Amino acid sequence: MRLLPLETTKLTTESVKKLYEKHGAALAAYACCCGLDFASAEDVVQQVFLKLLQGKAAAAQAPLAYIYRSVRNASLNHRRDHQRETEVPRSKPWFTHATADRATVLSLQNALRELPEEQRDAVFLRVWSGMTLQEIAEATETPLNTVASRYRYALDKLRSQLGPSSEKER
Amino acid sequence: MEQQGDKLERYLAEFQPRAVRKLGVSPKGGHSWQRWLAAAAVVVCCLGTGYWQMRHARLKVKGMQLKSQTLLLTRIAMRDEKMFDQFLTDRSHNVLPSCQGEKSTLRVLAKE
Repeated sequence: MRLLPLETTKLTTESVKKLYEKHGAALAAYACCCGLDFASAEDVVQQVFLKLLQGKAAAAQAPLAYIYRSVRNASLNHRRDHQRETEVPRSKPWFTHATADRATVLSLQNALRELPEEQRDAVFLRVWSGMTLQEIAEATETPLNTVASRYRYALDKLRSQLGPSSEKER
Repeated sequence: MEQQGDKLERYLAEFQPRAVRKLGVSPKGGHSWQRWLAAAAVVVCCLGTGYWQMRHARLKVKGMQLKSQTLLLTRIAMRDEKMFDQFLTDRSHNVLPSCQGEKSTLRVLAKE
């Protein structure tokens, strides 16, 4: 995700809290995709939002995309800082589904982890943060066609990884 | 193709990311200063108990010594009065303040 904010603004406490309530869970799942376990992912997301609340970080004009980028960077830093620690098996799922079994949830998680970074960003911003492709393109300063094709490629890969369960009529 | 994409998108949206804890709440529900306070309280309790036990044991030993000494002295007093007087005189040197010093209060009082 390429983000070079031209203008930065300080978010109000209220708007930061609203962003956290609405997107905190998706951001934690996104941090898990960057290789963290759920507890660490939660910590990383909290740190990013607390920095925003304390005014230590100024968000760009597109705060959500900026926060996604911050979470990704913080996750990579966390991984680097803790790489000597013994890795705990990642068995705890960070997605839930009303009817799907655990194996399906875990296969979605693995499929998301295996996506290239840009494609994964597009999927998260579109599916779990509810942005349109146009908004994603503006937020990431990427041409709309590029975003659309990244998203399409990502869906193709997810479809092939998830198998027939994703094709059922709902 | 687009329809398939929409279907998959809806399917993916059915998966909900796991809920996260409230903003600003520490993972185990306690602030670090509370944990420090609890640890300090435990240390103070341990030290207090240790001190009390040590003091109690000392007092017990002292009491036992005093009791055995009293029995011994009674026995001496009954058997040999002179020896008992001598013993008390000797002990008094250890117990009463010495009046050997030139300006000792006891010596001044004795002169008066």
